[in-house]
Amino acid sequence: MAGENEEHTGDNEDMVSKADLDEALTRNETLEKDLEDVRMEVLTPAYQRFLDSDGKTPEKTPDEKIPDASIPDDKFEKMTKKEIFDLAVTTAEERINGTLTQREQQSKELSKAKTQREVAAFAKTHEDYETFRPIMYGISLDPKHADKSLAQLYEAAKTHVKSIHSEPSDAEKEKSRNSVNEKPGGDASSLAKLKSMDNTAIANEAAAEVEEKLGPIPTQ
Amino acid sequence: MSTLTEYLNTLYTTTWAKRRAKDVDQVFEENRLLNLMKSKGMIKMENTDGRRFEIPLRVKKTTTSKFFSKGATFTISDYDPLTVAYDTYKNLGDQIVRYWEDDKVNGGSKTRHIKLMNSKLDGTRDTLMEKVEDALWSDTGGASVDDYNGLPYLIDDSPSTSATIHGINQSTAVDSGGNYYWRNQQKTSSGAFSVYGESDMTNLLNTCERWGKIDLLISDQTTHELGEAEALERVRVVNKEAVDLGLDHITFKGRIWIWSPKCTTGYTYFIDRRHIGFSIDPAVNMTMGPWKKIPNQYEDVVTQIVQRGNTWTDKRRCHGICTGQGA
Repeated sequence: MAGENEEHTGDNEDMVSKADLDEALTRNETLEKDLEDVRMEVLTPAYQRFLDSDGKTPEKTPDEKIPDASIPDDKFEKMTKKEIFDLAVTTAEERINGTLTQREQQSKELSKAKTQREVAAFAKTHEDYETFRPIMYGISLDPKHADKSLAQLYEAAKTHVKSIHSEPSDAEKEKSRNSVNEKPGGDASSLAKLKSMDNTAIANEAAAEVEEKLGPIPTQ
Repeated sequence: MSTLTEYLNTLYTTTWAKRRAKDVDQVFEENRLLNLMKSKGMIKMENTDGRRFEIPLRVKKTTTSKFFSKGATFTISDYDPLTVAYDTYKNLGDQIVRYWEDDKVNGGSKTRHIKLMNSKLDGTRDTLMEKVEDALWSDTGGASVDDYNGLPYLIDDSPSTSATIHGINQSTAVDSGGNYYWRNQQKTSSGAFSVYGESDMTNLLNTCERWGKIDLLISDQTTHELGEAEALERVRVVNKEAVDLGLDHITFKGRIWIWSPKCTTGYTYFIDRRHIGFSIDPAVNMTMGPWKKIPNQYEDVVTQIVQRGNTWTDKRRCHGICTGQGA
């Protein structure tokens, strides 16, 4: 450029025409733009990895989900329209899925944190929460209780426990009394039945059972 | 197809399995002493694994308790509150034999087989019941004999003589206060029952109740009848527990008073049922074993019915015995 200026300036070295200046500035701007384009092409991370991998296809990093970014233009030129379309669809799907997964993850974390806060608040206001917690969990597993709130589950657990600890019936009391001592040969109810039978009746009952199992009495 | 012998083995075993609970209950109901122990919850069903069983006794007391003033200090010393007595479990059993010829004679008749079976099982049960009754009223016990400990062994009519019960010698065992903690109470009658009977019994009752609570008296038939005749007005009161158990009884100061044909003549036992019991292994409680062929005999078979347990006391000072009572 210096030589060129010298050639134009001639008599007055310090003077340059306005047209020449504008032309030079325009050319300078164009060259700078070209240089930047070349620099961007050469220094992209993908291109650097491509160079580092000695010409092999660079491995994709997790954050690099845009396949076309690593595909050089000449490769696009070799692809059919259908292949380009498929690539575009795949890329779009991956991007969408990635975004959705990320949002889902965030949503889960938020939901979990919210639930933990709710449970902690509930536990603070209900001293016997830990006592009923396993029963509440058991009730919540039933699909028909799936939508119940913590308070509803807590009430359901208390009702359940109350039903278990209700006053025993006369039959249960009788069974319990019979169970105080060891009752061989069956449960207390079968003992009560056997106690009301005489020995011949018991023997006949036993004989019927044996006959059912082994058939009629053999003679040999 | 099973043989006649195999068929009858199964029939006997099945029948006994069904009868056993009822027959065991009968043993306890018909034996009045056991029935009264059971009523107090002192028939214990427990595993009898091991060579011997332990009876924990609360004999020792702390020596560090005291009244104290401001700034007083306590002597720091620990103590072992438990003295453990030991005894061994005993086995009682009887056998049932079946001869092939008897089986053949009854042939295919179910009725005849059942009749024979019931008589054999009844006979064995009755024999075992008598054996239990005999053992409970015999003055034997400890590791040197095979029988259950008898009541006269646990409640000795001569408690100051040298005898070892549950591994502790009653004549020498003393607690920290120098008291003979392993001797039951004993009183020899002062004379004719009509004159001294009530006072003697009252005295012994009170002595026993210094260490426990007497709730059962057992005499021989004669002494029991003397008591009923001499103190008719006072003994008329019935004991509700005894009535519920269906026991023919009288009472002495509200305590159940029964008699036993096995009791030594002129004796009355004063028993605190909270401190005497009978432990039985539920897995071996009148259980029938497998049928085995008798060697050198054609198709003759045998089985055994067995029980494993023992009687015990965890406190002897609260029991008593009045001896030499008579008209």
